[in-house]
Amino acid sequence: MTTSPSERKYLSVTEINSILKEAIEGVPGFHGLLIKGEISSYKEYATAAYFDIKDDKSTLSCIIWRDNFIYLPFSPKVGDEVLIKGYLTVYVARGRYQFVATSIELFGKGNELLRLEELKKKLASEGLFDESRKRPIKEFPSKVGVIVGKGSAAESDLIKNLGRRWPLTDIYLFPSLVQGKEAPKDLLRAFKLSQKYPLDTLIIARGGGSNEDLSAFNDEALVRAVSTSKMPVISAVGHEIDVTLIDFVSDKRVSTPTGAAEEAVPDQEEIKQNIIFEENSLIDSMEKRLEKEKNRLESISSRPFWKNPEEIYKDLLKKVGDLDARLMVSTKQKVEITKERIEGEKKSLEALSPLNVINRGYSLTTKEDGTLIRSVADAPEGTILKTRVKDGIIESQSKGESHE
Amino acid sequence: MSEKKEMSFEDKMKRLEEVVEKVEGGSLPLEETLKLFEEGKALIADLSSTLKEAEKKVGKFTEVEKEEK
Repeated sequence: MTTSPSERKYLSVTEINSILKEAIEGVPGFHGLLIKGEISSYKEYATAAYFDIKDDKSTLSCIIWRDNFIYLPFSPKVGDEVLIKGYLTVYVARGRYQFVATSIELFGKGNELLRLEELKKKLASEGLFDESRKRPIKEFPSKVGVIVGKGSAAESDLIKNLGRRWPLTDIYLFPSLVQGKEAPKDLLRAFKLSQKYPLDTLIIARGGGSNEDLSAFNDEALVRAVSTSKMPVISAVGHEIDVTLIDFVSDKRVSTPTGAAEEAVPDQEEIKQNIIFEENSLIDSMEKRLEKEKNRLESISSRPFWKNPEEIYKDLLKKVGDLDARLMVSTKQKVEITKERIEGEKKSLEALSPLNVINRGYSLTTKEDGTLIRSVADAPEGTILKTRVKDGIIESQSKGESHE
Repeated sequence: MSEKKEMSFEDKMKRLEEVVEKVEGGSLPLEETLKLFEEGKALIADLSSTLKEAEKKVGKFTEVEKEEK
């Protein structure tokens, strides 16, 4: 017995593919898978990127939605070894199973990072990154060397900014490859060449890029060479978040070529302002100083003794006057005392004087020459005698000795 | 200090700062201060004219790709 087609049970294509989709998506083990492969095709569209990854025996169709691929740290390309994370599903319209990637990372990057970390540790332990090795950048360099990608945006940026800021500096350009396999060797060549020039400062610059692109600046030989640079090195490799080993070994690290120009040379506008500032301080302080000296002079010249010089010895004169007066007084006193004393002496002396005796009625007889007559023998006959009495002298002549 | 070499822009800027500092300090004798003031004015004139000339100058630029002989 046969059943009619309408009675037989069947599924539509859409139904079976949908059932499969649900089944596959329902397997817990198919979520959060991590799959390693090499990208064998890659196509980006507005809403998603379609790509295949393969190993030596098999291929897997993959898709990554725009929401996820715009956040990838690199642009996947055919040949990349990648690790992709996501889940398995079925594309119902095509009846194909595919892998929906939520992230893609370069395989080996982990190893690369590890290697880099080890190299960094090694160089650090040798002291290559020590702060004490960092030299100051010359403020007004006359010669600046620039190692940069030929024809790169970083190159024109540096030439423009160095020249605009400080035209007194000569720029020596050492063009080099900055990415790809040959880059480390070429950078080393450019660096060695730069060492033959009497540069004040050397800039090693590169515009921003993925970590992959900056790997040349992690090259051990290059980093070691740069550590021996004769002149201070400014590194400007990549942007803020990208740090390379060159940055650790350089004397100054900046994040952009513009920053390197700012670090390498002064800004002429700023220097002009500084000069104006210095000029103002110079004139100000000179004026202040002169004012001060003027005031000093004025305060001295306004003293009264310039008009009345005697003011200077007024005090002295007064002192002398005082001393004089004191001297006068004491001298007078002394004279008085002496006078009194003399008077006293005189009185006691007068009491003894013969003149006093005469006053009392006695007389005193002398010869003409004043010799006192003390004996008859002093006055022989004929001797002229002078007899002093109270009120005068009587002159007479001796008749010789009388015998009563 | 020997004067066999022409002072560099940097030297002149440093000297200017030094001179201004000394004049500002106000502790030097007046004669010396006046001399420093004159020196400062001369340095300013010199530096300013260098900068004015620099404005007209285009930074000298040498590209070195291979070792020069």
